[in-house]
Amino acid sequence: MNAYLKYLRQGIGLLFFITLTLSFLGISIPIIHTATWFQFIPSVLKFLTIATAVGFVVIILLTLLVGRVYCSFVCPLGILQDIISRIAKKFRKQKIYRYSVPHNYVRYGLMAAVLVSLLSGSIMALLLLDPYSFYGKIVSGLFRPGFITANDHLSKWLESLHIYIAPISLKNFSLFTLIWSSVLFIVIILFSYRRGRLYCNTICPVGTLLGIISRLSVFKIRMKSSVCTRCGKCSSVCKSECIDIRDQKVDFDRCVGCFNCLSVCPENALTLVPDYTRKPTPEKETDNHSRRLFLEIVATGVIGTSIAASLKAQNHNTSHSNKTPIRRKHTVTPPGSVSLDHFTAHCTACQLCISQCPTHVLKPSIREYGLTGLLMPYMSYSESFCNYECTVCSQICPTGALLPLTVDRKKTLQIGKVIFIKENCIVFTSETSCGACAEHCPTAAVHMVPYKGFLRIPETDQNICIGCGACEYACPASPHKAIYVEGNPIHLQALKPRENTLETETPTEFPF
Amino acid sequence: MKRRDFLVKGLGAGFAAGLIAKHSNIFSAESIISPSKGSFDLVAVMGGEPDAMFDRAIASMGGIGKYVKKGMRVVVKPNIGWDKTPEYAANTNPLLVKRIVEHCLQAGAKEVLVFDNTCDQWQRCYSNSGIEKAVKDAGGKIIPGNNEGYYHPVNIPKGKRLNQTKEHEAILESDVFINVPVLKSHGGATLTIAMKNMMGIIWDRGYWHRNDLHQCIADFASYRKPTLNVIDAYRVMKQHGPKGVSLSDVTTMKALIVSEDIVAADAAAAKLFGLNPSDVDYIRIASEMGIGNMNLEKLNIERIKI
Repeated sequence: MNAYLKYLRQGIGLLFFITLTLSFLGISIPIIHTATWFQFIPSVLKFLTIATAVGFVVIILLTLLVGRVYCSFVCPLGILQDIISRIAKKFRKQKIYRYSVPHNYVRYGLMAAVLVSLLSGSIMALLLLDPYSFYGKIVSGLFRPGFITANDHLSKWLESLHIYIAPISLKNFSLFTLIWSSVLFIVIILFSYRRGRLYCNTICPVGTLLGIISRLSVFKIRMKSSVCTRCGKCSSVCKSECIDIRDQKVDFDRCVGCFNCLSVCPENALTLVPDYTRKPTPEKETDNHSRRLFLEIVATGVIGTSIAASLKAQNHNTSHSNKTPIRRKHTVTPPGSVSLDHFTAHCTACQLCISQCPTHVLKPSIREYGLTGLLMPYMSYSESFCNYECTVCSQICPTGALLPLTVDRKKTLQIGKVIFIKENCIVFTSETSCGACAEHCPTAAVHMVPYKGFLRIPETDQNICIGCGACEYACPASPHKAIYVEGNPIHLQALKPRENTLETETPTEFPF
Repeated sequence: MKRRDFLVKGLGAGFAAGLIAKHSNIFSAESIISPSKGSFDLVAVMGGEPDAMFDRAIASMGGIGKYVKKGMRVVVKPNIGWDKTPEYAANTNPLLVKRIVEHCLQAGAKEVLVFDNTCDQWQRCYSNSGIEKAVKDAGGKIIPGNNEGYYHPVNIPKGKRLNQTKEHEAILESDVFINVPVLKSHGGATLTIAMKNMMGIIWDRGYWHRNDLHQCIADFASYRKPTLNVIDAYRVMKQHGPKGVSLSDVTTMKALIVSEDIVAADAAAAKLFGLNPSDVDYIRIASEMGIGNMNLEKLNIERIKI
């Protein structure tokens, strides 16, 4: 029985891990919606706008039942660390784990910082610390470019053998994201190389929160001191370093529910048992201590809230009055994001939409949303444009930053408006035909009208423009494009494309 | 005979029989039209379904066997530029593409490849145009065209504005290239027909747009001459081309034009559309460059009404 729990954990964990990893690589996996529905922070955020997103409630109930199994079964960053430490075990000198004391100041401090940041209306802390999004950044930013490049080289090589596999073409690649993701990956390797789940029990705010909840768990891992021979096998496989052999205690706060210990104990001294007996033991004291510590930190944090809030207000002002050299006044946010404010208040920059976008029009931001919006997706029309009939990003977003759209709704949803700069246009400057912008426009918001002689020049109609960026992408004028999309800070409703009936008659005889 | 051998051979024989049955179905007696001598410069057909019109047209041209010999590598290049379903007429009619692939394979082609360097996301174009399925059903291969790695530099010696461009390797390695555009209105080029369709076999279209689009279209046609041009005018997008907005942009013309002369083919299609060939600048330029003949009166034209 005890060993089965470990296999169950490995099975379910791998299912989540593989589904999420392939999705972040850009492969379309049907069960991705289920895999993200259970992710804690995204679910909490989505719940703010969509009441059915209660995955986090399920996780809390599960934690109340058997502890932090989320960390080992569901969290991709947790499972990644398990994989790293498993590989690292072959190389490192010390093959076993040892009990260590918790870093409570850091743990509760960081969690308080997240709360403070959220209370002051900024998602910055989650942007940096949500473990699911952390993992998404690593795979999407670091591994996806490699995966696509390898696929495309393979596809090119196979083509010479007359075997055809689909190339993907890396568009809107961001070197900054690659570097950022590499740093995150290195951080995780450093944490987990020797110390297993040290990150989850020191830095991760979800780990800390679930740890607090797990104190109330019905089932807990307990050590029967009467049976235990202090052989230390359990402690040596504990990635959380939370089994104290000397005092024969398990710090269940930090237990990530991997169940390795249960499967190695020769005496069955460790068991997952109902924890009815809450006697006033010395344990209580430490409980009190950490509770006080937690409260202290939160209190300090709340005082800090006002300061942070006022600082944020200042930042807000400067970013509005300070016009960047970019000609666009507002970054174009993805369809379904409702408004710039809604979007930047809910996105944790997990990169899932960026990975899944079939046209790669979404790019992680560097300066577009300011520092507090680092790596959130924006519509980048330099290398691609948004497909008229595609709603993938809105459907896949796990945090509710992008709300689901139907294809019909999307076709008249105006995320930005077209602006034509005649003096940059090839028809104007070279007096030769072009029309690349109008060619790509799905609604004829950009269309060609008579100009000089044979020549026709673009004319725009903002009322039917949806801001897909096809015109901006297609415009061949250089160095500056002659047509671009100005973002709508609040998404609007565009008029339906006009339908004018044909006046010409269809020939029934050959005209030649 | 051992049991295992029997099973293996039996399976093989069954499979072969199945294959023969399958292919003989496709080319039942009624669809084969015996080829004429094929002395026409251009064949125009009107009033039939896309596949039936092609059967008649290719017979008048002298049969597909005139162009496709046993063991040849054929590329069929339709317009698959847009993520649109067939009724919007933004892409070549899938029935027509299917029929052409079938003809080529029946003539003994080693393989028939189909691709386009699409404007919209390529997988969506291939799938929603119905062309991917049509090609697979016919036994052809639909291959990607969206990766620069597939394109290799070629020189255009007679080009005035376009002297070099990158062309898809499938075309470079082909024995036969059948150009299968759809006739459409075009905001920049007035019309898109056969010459304009070749923008889907090269990589950097932006260069053409920057450097006199009409001249570049004609320049490229001076270098790359398709074995045969088959123009789909079954459904024709009369306005808002080349992508189109709604079904009100489309009229059903039920016509097809086939010619070896790309300029003549474009000229005839322009006429069908309701324009004079000289109204389309690249047709005029190409004719002046001697790439082909836009003067339809001087051509030997077969007109077929179904």
